[in-house]
Amino acid sequence: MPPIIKATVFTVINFALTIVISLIVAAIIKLIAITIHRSQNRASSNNAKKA
Amino acid sequence: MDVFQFFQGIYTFFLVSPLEAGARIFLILLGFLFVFLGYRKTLEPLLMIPMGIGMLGVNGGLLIFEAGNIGTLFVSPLASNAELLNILQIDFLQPIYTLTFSNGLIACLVFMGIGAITEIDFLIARPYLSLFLAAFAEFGTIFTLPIAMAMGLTAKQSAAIALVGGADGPMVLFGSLMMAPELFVPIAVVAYVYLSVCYAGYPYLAKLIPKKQRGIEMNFRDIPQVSPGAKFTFAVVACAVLCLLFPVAAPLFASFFVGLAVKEAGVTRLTEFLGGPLLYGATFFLGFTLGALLGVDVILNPKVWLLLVLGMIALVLSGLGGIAGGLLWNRFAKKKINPLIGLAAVSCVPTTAKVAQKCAYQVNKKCMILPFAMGPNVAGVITTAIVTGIYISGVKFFS
Repeated sequence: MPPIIKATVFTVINFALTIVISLIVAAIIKLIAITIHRSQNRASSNNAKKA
Repeated sequence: MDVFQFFQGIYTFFLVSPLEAGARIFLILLGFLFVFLGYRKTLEPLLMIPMGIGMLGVNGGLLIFEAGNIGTLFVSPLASNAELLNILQIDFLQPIYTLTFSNGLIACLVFMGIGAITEIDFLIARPYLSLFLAAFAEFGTIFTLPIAMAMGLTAKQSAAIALVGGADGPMVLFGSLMMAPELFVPIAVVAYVYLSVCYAGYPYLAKLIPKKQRGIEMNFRDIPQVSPGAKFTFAVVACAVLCLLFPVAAPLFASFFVGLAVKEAGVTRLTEFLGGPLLYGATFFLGFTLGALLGVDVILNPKVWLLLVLGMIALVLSGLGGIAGGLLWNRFAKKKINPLIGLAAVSCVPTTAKVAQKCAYQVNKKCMILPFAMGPNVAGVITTAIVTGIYISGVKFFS
């Protein structure tokens, strides 16, 4: 396969991979945000119950 | 002629070919121009003033050594291991180059500082939007590779110059050291010159966005209060995940996230150190040493002109990609954004975010998009690191 074709194939794979990994990172960020938000809510409702 | 020999900086003009003498004069004038444009704040003064002075010094300060060869007392990037110990004691910037440039340390130091001054509230609040825009702003980094190969560079050299499209100086330094050390100096110089040009050039690209959309105001209520705990957890987990995925870029990831983690943990003294003296010290020596590396041999290397063209292509493509991402998001999403934050996804932290804010302000004086632009801006650092990791790990498989 000529190098330029290989490079084009690699570029397409690279673009797809970049998007997939970016989405995974975005999902991790979202997960962290949701988890911490929930734990903060739980902590504040526990505090409210104790009070 | 003896009088001339006393002033060796001038005398050496007559000892080299007219082409080399002309190139020296050109570089001295270019140094003056960089200093002037830095002073006027047209280009990034933090880099341009030290770089311009470095260029003036190295191209003016040529002298004849005892052995009869011509050189400077600044830095010798191509010194062999046998010569190095001697040169370390002669060239005053050689310790900086040998101990911080050729192993990527300077890039990591800059990244630690950037991590310590980065705000990630919007990134955590709207991660999909931020990373969507950042992935589009990697157009230049991704699509310059086949263009560079078509122009005759090897796969590794093409990947190294394509990284300029990420507009992330430390990443370019790191990537070129890993993939094309023979082109490290010209690529680093091209990258940093262009990163400063972004400041002046991207506002022209921004004009491709319809004026009405450039003035869209964004609601601050869209940035919910994110606790330092969430940001700290993000820094630690994201660092671990990205290091696991891309071990070759792990030093950069670790450097960026350690800065961020220290900041979010509230370790004020370390944050002040990383975001102040360390960041600005590293940036200063980076600019000054890069200027000192920009000698006649670099400019007369025919590959440099190719790299200049490819660097420009990469940055323009990335800017266009970021803008396209912003416009595309507005086309399909219910909640409209100012597409200029797509331009900020080109990860030159915080320059492109400032450019986006400047362009928005020119159209609508009430428009404040800087906090929103910082989300894609930081996401751009992450996506550039991802692409760098893919290149370093993957380019060997098809080269």
